[in-house]
Amino acid sequence: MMCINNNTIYKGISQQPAVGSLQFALNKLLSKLKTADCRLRTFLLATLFALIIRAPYANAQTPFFQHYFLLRKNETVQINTSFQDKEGFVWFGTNKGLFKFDGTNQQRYTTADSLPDDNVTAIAEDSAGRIWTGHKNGSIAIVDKGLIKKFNPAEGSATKSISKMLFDKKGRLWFSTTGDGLYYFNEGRLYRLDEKENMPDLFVYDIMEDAQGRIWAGTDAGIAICSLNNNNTPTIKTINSKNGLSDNIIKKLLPCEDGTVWLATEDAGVINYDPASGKCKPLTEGGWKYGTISAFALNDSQVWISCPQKGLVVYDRITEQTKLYDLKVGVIFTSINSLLKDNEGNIWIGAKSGLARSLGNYIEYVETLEPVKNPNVAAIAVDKQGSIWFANSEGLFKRKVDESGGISVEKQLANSPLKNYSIISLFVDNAGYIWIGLYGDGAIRINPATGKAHYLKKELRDGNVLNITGKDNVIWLATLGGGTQITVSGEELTIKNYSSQNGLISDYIYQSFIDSKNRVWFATDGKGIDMKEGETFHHYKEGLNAKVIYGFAEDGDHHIWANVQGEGLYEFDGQKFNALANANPLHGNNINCLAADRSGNLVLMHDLGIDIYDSRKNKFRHLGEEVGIHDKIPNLNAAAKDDKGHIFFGTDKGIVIYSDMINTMQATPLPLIAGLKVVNQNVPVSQNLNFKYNQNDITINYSGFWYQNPQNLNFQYKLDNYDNSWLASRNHSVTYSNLPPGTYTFRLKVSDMEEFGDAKESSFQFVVSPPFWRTNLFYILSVLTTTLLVYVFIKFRERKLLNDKKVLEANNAELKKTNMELDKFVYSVSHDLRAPLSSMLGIIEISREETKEPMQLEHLGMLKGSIKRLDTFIQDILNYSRNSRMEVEKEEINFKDILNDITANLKYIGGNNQKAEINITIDNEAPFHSDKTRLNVVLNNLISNAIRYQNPKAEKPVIDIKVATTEAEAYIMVKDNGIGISKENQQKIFDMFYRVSKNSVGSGLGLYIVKETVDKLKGKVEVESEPGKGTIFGIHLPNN
Amino acid sequence: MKSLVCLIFLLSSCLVQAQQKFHVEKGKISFISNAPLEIIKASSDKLDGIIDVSSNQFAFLVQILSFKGFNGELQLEHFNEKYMESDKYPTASFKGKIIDAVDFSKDGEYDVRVKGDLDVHGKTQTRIIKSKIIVKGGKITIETKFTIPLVDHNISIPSIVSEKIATEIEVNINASMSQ
Repeated sequence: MMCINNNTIYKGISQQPAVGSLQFALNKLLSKLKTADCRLRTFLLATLFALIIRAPYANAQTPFFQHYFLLRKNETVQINTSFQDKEGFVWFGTNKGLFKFDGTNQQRYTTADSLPDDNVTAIAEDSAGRIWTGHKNGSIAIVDKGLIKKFNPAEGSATKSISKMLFDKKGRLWFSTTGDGLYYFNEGRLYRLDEKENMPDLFVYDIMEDAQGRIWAGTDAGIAICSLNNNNTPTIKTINSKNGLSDNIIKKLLPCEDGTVWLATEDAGVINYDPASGKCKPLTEGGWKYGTISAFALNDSQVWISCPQKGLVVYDRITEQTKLYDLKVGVIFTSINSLLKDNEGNIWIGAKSGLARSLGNYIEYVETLEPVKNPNVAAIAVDKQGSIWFANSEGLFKRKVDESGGISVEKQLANSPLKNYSIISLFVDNAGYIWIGLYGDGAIRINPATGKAHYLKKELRDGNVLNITGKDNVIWLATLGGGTQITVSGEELTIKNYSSQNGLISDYIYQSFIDSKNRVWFATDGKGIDMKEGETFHHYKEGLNAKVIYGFAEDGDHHIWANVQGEGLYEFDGQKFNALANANPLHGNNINCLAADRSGNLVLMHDLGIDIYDSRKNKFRHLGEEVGIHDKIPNLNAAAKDDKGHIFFGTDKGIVIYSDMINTMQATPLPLIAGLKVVNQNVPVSQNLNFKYNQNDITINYSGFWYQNPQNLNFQYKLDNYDNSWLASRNHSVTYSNLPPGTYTFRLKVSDMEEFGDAKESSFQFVVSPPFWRTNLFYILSVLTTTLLVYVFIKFRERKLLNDKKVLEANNAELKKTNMELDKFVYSVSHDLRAPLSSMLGIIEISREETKEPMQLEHLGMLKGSIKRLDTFIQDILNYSRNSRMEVEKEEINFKDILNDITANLKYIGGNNQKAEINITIDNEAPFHSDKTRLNVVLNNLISNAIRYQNPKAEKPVIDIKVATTEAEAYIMVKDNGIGISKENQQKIFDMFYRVSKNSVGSGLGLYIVKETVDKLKGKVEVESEPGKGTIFGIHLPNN
Repeated sequence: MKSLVCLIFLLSSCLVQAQQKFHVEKGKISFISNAPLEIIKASSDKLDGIIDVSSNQFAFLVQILSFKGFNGELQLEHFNEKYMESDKYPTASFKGKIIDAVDFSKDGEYDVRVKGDLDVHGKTQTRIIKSKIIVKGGKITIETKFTIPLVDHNISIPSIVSEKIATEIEVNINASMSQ
C-alpha cells in the first residue's frame, strides 16, 4: 500500500471539528515523508548500533531547581543554615547576614542593624515567636519584631561558632558549638557541658530533642544524650562505636516519629538508630558510596542528602531508588550546607554557592539530547534495561545511562535501509522487543538483543501506525486503516486487521488500548469510541461533547477514562462515557498525553503542564510553573511507562519524566496578615486590638506563603460585622475608612486556585471604641448625674418649700390670730355699736312721742333712718364676720319656714317703696341639709335686694322665689322685676363695698356676703339680669 | 628553626605537659593539580610535625617557599606570588586531633580519621581527613592523601588559565616520626 497523502487524511475527517488535529500530529513528520515502498522482509542488521557518542558530562535527568539570588545576581551568598518559622517565613543564615524571605521579598539584617556578626550559623525560634541567631564568632542575638538585640548572659558568650540552636519542650535554649561544647540556658543562667560532664567531644555538629525531652548531640566521638533532672543536674550518656554506632562522627540528627533517630555520619551514610535496641540500620543496603554528608532532610518517603564529595542524593524509601544530582547532570551546587523541608513540601538547598528550591523530584527533565540537535521528541518508549528510545526528525535514538552515571545517546537503524523512515510511534513489548510505528511505511519490530528487525508493511491494511500498544503476547497497532492485532508466538506473528469493513465504526484510530479485562478500546477520529470485547464491537458516542478521541487510561479502580479532544477526561460508567463532574478542575482540557501511574492516578499532560487526578479521592494536583514544566508542549500520545512507575513524555523541549507520586495531597498556601496601618501609623498585628473612635481608618496589609508559585496567589477577605460577603482580590492590602464603632474580625483566605474550598484562613479581631459620649458608661453617668441633679433640686426645693411653709405657717398663724382678733374686734365693736344705736332709736321713739312739731318730727325721722342704715351696715359686717369665723353647721332645712320668716320681716323695708308681691314655690323633692344661719343670711340679702331695688316704672313689684331640692343639691331662684343690673356691672356686684349707684341705700356688703357665704357652703351663685326688666339670682347649694 | 618555633607556638595552645611526643624525622608533602590541559606536580621535604600521643593531638606545618618541582621557573614564581602569596602567608598548617583510636604502643596499621583546622593561604577550614598510621618498632609512619578545593582557601584562578589549573588540588603526605 502506498503512503497515504495529505488530502486523503483531510477528506476523511473533514466533517469533524477536529479537522486539523490529526493533520497537525502527522505534519510534524511530513517533511520526512518518504514515498519509497520498501519491501523489506526480515533481515539482520549487524551494524545496527553504529553511531555511539558518549556525552558523560551532560544531559542526565534533573528535577527543577529554582535558584534565588539573595543579593545581586553575581554576588555569591553562602547559605549556612535555613529555618522556617511558625508564621511561614523562611530565614537564611548566611555569611552576609540574616535574611527573612516570604517567597517574593527578602529582608536582610546585618551588623548595620546591630547583628553581632554577619556570619549567621544557626537560627531558632522561641515560643514567643522571636528569632534567635547564632553566629560564627560565638555570639547570639535575638530578633524581636524587626529589632535586634544581643543575647548577653552574665556568663559570657561561646568562643566558637554556634552550630545549632533549639528551644526544648520546657522552653530552655540549647546551643552547640564547633569546639566549645554544648550550652544551655536555664532560669537566667548559662551552663556549659564539657569533658567534666562527660561530653565525648567539644566539637558538636548538630543537636536535636527527642520525645522524652533529652538533647542529642552529634560529635566526632559519638552521640551525647543529655538530660537534666529536676535539680538542673545534667547527665550525659554516650553512644559510640563501642555500643553499636556504625560511625563515631555524627554530622546531623533528625528525630523519627517511631522513636528512632536518623543520623548522618561521616563515612557510613545515613543510618537509623533505634535507642530501644541500640541497633543501627543503614538507609541504603550495600554500603554507602556517596561519602561524607553535610545535611539531610526527610520529605515523605524521600530522603534528600547532601554529599559534598558527590552531589545531592535523593533516596526513596518506598521505591528504594537512589538518584544522584551532581555536576555531571548540570546541578551546579557546590558544597551544600543545609537542606530544609518547608511546610509546602519544598526542599530548600542552601549551599556555599547560593540558594535553590525544589518541589521534589517527581518531575525530572532530559532537556538536551546531544548529539541530537532537535529536542522535539515525537515518540518515546523505555526498554527493560531502562534505556529511553525516542524518535524525532533526525531519526531513532537510544539513550542509555551506564552504572557510573555516564550517558550515551546512540542513533539506531543508522546503517539500515530503514533509516530514512519517519517514526511516529514506539513501543516496548512484554518480551522486550522494540516496536516502531512509521509514517506511511508500516511498522518494524526489533529484537534489541540480536539487532534483528522484522519489517511489516503489506500485512497491514494501512501503513500509518499512529500508536502501538500491547499486553502479554498481543500487540495492537492504531492506524489510519483501522486497528491491527498482532499475536506473537516466538518469531511467528499472526496479523489480523479490523476496520470499518469488519466491526469498527471508523478507520482512523489514534490509539488502541487493552484494559485489564482484555477489552480493546479504540480512539477514533470523529466517530467516538469503539470497544472490542471478544469478537463483539460496541460503539460509544452518547454523552461525548466531541467525537475526536485521543486515547485511554485505566485508573486504580479499573475504570476506563477517555481523553476527548478539547473536552478533557470522560469516564466510562459501563453504559456510556461521562464528563468529569467537577467543574473544570483540570488546568487544561486539551490533553495530549494520558496515562495512569503505578498508584492508579491519572496523569495527563497538556500545554500548561501536568495534572494528576486521584479519581478515588477526587483530588487534583497540578504541576506547572512551580516545577518548571509550563513551557514544554507534549506531543500527541508521546508517552511511555517503565517498570519503576515512571511515565515518560516526549515534548518539544526534550523528555519529561514523572515519578509515581505517592502522596498527591497538596499543601495549600498559608495566609499572613502582615501589617496594620491605623490612620497612617504602623501598628503591629495582634489579637483584640483596641482603637479609639477616631482611629477608624484602617489599612490591612496581607500576603500569603506559596514559595512554589508566589505570583499565583488569590486572596479572599471579609471584615465580619462590615462586609456582607467574601471579597476576592489579588491585591495585598485593603483599606477600611470611617469604620463605625464596633467589634470586627478580619478574615483572610489564600489559595493558588480560583476556588477557596480547602483554603487556610487567618484572622484577627479588633475593636473600634465608641467616643466617650457614646459609651454605656457615659450614658449611665449621664443618667446618674441627671438623677442626682434632680434629686438635689428636689431636695433643695423641698427644703425651701418647707422653709416657706414654716414661714407661711407662721405668717398664717399670725394672720389667723390677727384675723381672729380683727373678727373679735369687729364683732365686739359691732355689738358694742349696736347697743347704743338701739338706745338711740329708743330715745328717738320717745322724743317722737313727746313732740308734735312737724320739723322736729321730720328730723327725728331722718335721724331714725340714718341710725337704721347704720344698724343694717353693722349687722352686715356682723354677718360677714360671723360667716368667715363660724364653722358650717348642718341641719335639715325647712325652706317654707325660713322664707315665710324672711318675707314677713322684710315686708316693710324700703321706705317709700310699694309693697311687693312675693310668690314662693317650693319643690321639696328630697330633704335638704345645710347651714341654716348662712342660708338665712343669703336669702335675706337676696330678697331684701329684690324688694329694695324696685323699678318705679313697673306696675307692681313682683318677686318670685323658687326652691327645688334633690338628693344632690338645692336650687334657689330669686326673680324680681326691678331695675336690673347692666352687663358690665354684673361682674362687680359681688365685690366688697360695690354699689351699683350712689343712690343705693345698701352697705355694699350684701352680695359680697352672699357670695362668700355660698362659697363657704360649697355652692354656686349665678346672676341673670337686664336693666329695666329685672334680675334673676340662682343659687346651687350641695345637699349635705 | 623558624618553623619549629611556629610549631611549638601552635601546639602550646593545646598541649598540656605531654609525655609522649612524636616528631617528624623525615617528611614529604607533594601535590598534583590535574587540569584538563596541564598536570602540575610539586613537593617539599620540609614538612615538620608533632603528635602528642597522650592527648591524640597533632600539628603539621610546611613552608610554602620550600615547594620544588613545577613545570618551569615561571610556574614556581606564579605559584608563590600569584596564588599562594607566600610572602604574606609563608606557611600552611594542619593541626587538630586524631578522632579514631590508635594504640601507639602496639605495632600495626591504623586507618584513622583526623580532624583539624587546615590553614592554607591564610584561610582556615575545618577538615576531616583520612590517614594511615603505621606503628612499627617505636616509630610511626603517616600516609595521607586528601584534596584541597582552591575556593575553600580563597585562591582564585584567572579564567584564562582555568583549563591549566584544577579546582581541587590533590595532596599527598608521607612522614616518618619518632619520639
